[in-house]
This record gives sequence, C-alpha cells and structure tokens, in this order.
Amino acid sequence: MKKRTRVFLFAAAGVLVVALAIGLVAWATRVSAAGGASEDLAYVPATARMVAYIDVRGLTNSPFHDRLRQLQRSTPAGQDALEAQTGIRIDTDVDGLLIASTAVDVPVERAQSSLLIARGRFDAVRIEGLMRSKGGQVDLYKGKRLVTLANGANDGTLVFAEPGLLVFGPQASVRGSLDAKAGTAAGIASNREFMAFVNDVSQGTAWSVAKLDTASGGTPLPPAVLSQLPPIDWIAASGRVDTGLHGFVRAEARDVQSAESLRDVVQGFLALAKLQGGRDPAYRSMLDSVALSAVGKSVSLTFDVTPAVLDLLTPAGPQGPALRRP
Amino acid sequence: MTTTLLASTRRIFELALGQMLWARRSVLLALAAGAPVLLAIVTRLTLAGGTAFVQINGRRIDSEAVFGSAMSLLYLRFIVPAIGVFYGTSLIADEVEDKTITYLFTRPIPRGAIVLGKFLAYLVCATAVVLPSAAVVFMVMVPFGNMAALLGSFVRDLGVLVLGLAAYGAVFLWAGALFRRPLVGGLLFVFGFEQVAVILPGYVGRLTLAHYLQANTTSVVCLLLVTIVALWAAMLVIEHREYVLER
Repeated sequence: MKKRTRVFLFAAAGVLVVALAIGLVAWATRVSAAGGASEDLAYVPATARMVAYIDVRGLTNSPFHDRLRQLQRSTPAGQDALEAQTGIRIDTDVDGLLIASTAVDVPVERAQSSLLIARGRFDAVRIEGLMRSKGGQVDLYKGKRLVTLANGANDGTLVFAEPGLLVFGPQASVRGSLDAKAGTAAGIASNREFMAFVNDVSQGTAWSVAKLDTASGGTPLPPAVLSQLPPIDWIAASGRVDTGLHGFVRAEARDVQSAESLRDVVQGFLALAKLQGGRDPAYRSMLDSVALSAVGKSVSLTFDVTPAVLDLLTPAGPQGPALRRP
Repeated sequence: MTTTLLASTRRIFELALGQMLWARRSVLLALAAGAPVLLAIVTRLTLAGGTAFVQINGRRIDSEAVFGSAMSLLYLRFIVPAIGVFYGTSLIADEVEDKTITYLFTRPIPRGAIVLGKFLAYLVCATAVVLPSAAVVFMVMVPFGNMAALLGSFVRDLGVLVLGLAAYGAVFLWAGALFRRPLVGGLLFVFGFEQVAVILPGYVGRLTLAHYLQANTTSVVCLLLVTIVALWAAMLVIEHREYVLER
C-alpha cells in the first residue's frame, strides 16, 4: 500500500474518531437536548406529571419582553412581595426557572404538589434568615440544609441544593428532588417518553410538558375543558422569543381517531376566533400565522406573534387602551 | 486453498485500493462526500443566523432534524446507491472493457480472489470517504448539547451506511461480472425501479435494497445476506465465465 493511500485512510479514520469522541464526550457529560434546563431536570423526580421551564435571562433580554413591559406598564403582581420576603428579584436574580408538578406519597393520600427549581444569584444567608425569623426549622438531609416553614396548610421547604440553585416546595417533594439528584430515586430523565416530549420542545425560551392522567384527575387543564375534548395523553408547548413570539403546541391524543377529532375541535375554535377577531388587523395577522396539522396521534399548532402584531397591540400613546379587544 | 484465497485476496485488495482511490472516478466520490458537508455548513449558518427556518407540516424543524433528513434522503437514498452502482459495476466490467482482465486471470491466483479483493478495496475506499463525510455533517448540524441524544442513532446510521455500501456494491459487482455494460441497467434499477417501488403500496418495496436501509435486525440480516449471496454469485460467474475480449 502506498504512503499517500495509508495517509488518506488514517485521515478518514481520524475524522470519524473525532466525531465519535465528541459525541461520546457529550453523552458522558449528559448534556441533553433540554437546553438550559438540562442540569436542573436532574432534580425532578420520575413522578412528575408536568414540567415547565422558563429561560428568564433569555426572556428578559429579548425585545419581545420590552414590548410586553410597554403593554403591561406595571410590575407583575406579587413580584414586590416576593422580593420583600426573600430578597429574590425574578427579572434580575433568576436565570432559569423550572416548575414541576409531582405526585407525592404522603401517609394519608397520594397528593399533587409543585416543585420550584430556580437557578440564579441568591443571597442564601438573607433568605434562610428571613425564613428562620418566621419560625422556619432547619433540618439536614443528604448533607443539605432544609429550611421548612410550616404554616398550616402551606408548608414550604427551601434548600440551596448547589451554589446558585434553589429548590422550593413541600418537604416531601424537596426530599424527593434531592433523592432524584443523588440517584437514590428515579429521576425524570429515566422516563424516556417524557424526555422525548421535552426534547421536542426544549429549544424554546419557555416550554412545558404535561402528562394528562384523566383517571386520577391529575391534569393541568380544568375538568370542564377536558371533558369537552377528545382523550389526550400528552401536551407539550414551547415559545421562542426574539423580536416576536413563535409558539408551538403539540397534543398527543390517545389514538388516531381522537387526534382527528381534536384537530376538528381546534379548527372550529380557530374559525370562531377568525370570525370574531378577523376585523382587527392585529388579531387577523396573528390568526393567519396559525398552522394546524395532525400526523398520526399527534396534533400540532404553531403561531407567530410578530413585531408588527405587537406594534398593533401596543397603545398609541399614554392614554391609549392597554390592549385592544376584538 | 483457503490460505491461497486469503493471501491472493489481500494482494488484489492492496493493488485495487491504490488504483481506486487515486483514479479519476474518485472525483465522483469527492463530490458525493463534499456536497453534503457544504450543504450542512450553509444550512447551519442559515439556521443559526435566525434568518430562515425549515418548516414541515407546520412544525419548525431544527438543525438536528435536518441532519436526520440529510442522512435518510441524501446519504441512504442517493449517495449510497449512486456509489454502489458506479463503483460496483466498474470493478470487473472496467477490467473487461480495458482488456486488462487477462493480466489478472493469468496470475496464479484463484479467480474468486479477484472478486473478493476488489470488493473489499471498494468497500474500504467508499466507507473511508462516506463515513467521515457523514461524521462532519453530524458535527456541523447537531449542536453539542443535542449530541448525546443523537449519538446512538448516528452510530446506527453509520452501520447502515456501511451495510448499504456493501450490499449495493456486491449486487452491482455481480451485475458487472454478468453483463458487458451494466451501468445503464444499474442506474435504471436504483433511480427508477427502487424510487418508485418504495412508495408503492404492498410488497413491491421489499424487492428493493432501499427498503432494507434501516437499523433493525431484519434489515441488517437481509443486507448481509444480499451481500454474501451476491458476492458468492459473482465469484461463481467469474470462475466459470470465459470473457471474449474485443479487438
């Protein structure tokens, strides 16, 4: 074999090895497709029914957020109170916020509870001091300090699981979260079906995946709405913001027939919306961007809120209406 | 006999590999390998810039989905069959056409070794170009954060590429040993019959190699069987056929 032939074969093998090595490094470091939420998902137990994530940094830095602030013209309700109680300012201190609705095994009944996982810059001493001054009790669990504030029905436990990462929720959920991270309990990453949906939507600035369990009533949708819809197993939604908002909603029906029925229901709603809001250029432009499709059991809907639509929604002057209704 | 066959196969392999890699025909290989890489770079830059996006059935398709489409449509549906036809048919047919097959037949080696050696040289040559090309497209198209999830399917795709190159190469090597000018027939089979048959309802699709370019056990077994049977048939043809060379 000639030298140049040998060199060529080695170079080809080298390229292949480099690609596989990079892939293996990515696999070994478990950097998943969940974007900024990938590390935080390790804290979500496998019992989670719904997971939602907001890239707060990406959202607040977007031109779309600035436009929304123009529309809103006031601080979101509760933000000042949260800052006073914990010292946390969501728009400046939090980079990413992950909310999980988990099933918790408690002695009496199997209950649903929410878990909040926030990554950012927190004054741990101030927050813990504030909770202790209100009667918070400190426990140690897996080497972490759990501060529990028992307040009748609203018991809340907070832990700084790692520098810059705060986990908050009912004590059983927070303990379950630490177990999932430590590997002593199954994490949501072991649920391949759930993670497939997460991977499908996680490129968005904000996204959510929910397993609809109508049998146990564990659904994020009101029962009145759910009873009007064909059987749905999963709902996933994502929104990507830049100058506008690009939304994507996907529902996984129980079977193909249900998917077709669901598509017909949504189509009906869209037709009604076009009928009612079609005269308003802002709404008409938004409705025109809606694309609905059904493939197998999956029904998907995409829509865009463009800067032009936001311009139409933004009041012309200080006296203008906050939001024009169709 | 086995030792002779293996040693002779190795000798033919080394001879054929050098000839094949640096022949004019390799321009086709270079194009086949380079075009997807160029396409991947352009697509990635476009998607990363946010100036455009790909949408299928109302759903926005990201770069890794584009990578998946490139693997199935570009590599498996086009590049693998094309390389298989062009190289497979030429392995023996070109020696007959150039009247150089006599030199091989006069050597004290089993005729089957010519088929095996040339086939292995083709396989190494084609995989050494196609696989790195697919690897570069993978690195360009798939963001690092998504590589972990796609690594398994990427490795499976590489395996299917090798099996596809082997099966197409073996089938058209057999055709090259049987017919004097097999290229036109091969092109008609690959870009005519196969393209139509895979979209036809019923069982017609199963008569194509394209149907088995998938990472599942049945397909892998079928592709391996086709490769082995076609190679064996080509070895039989070349052992017993008397080639009449035109003056």
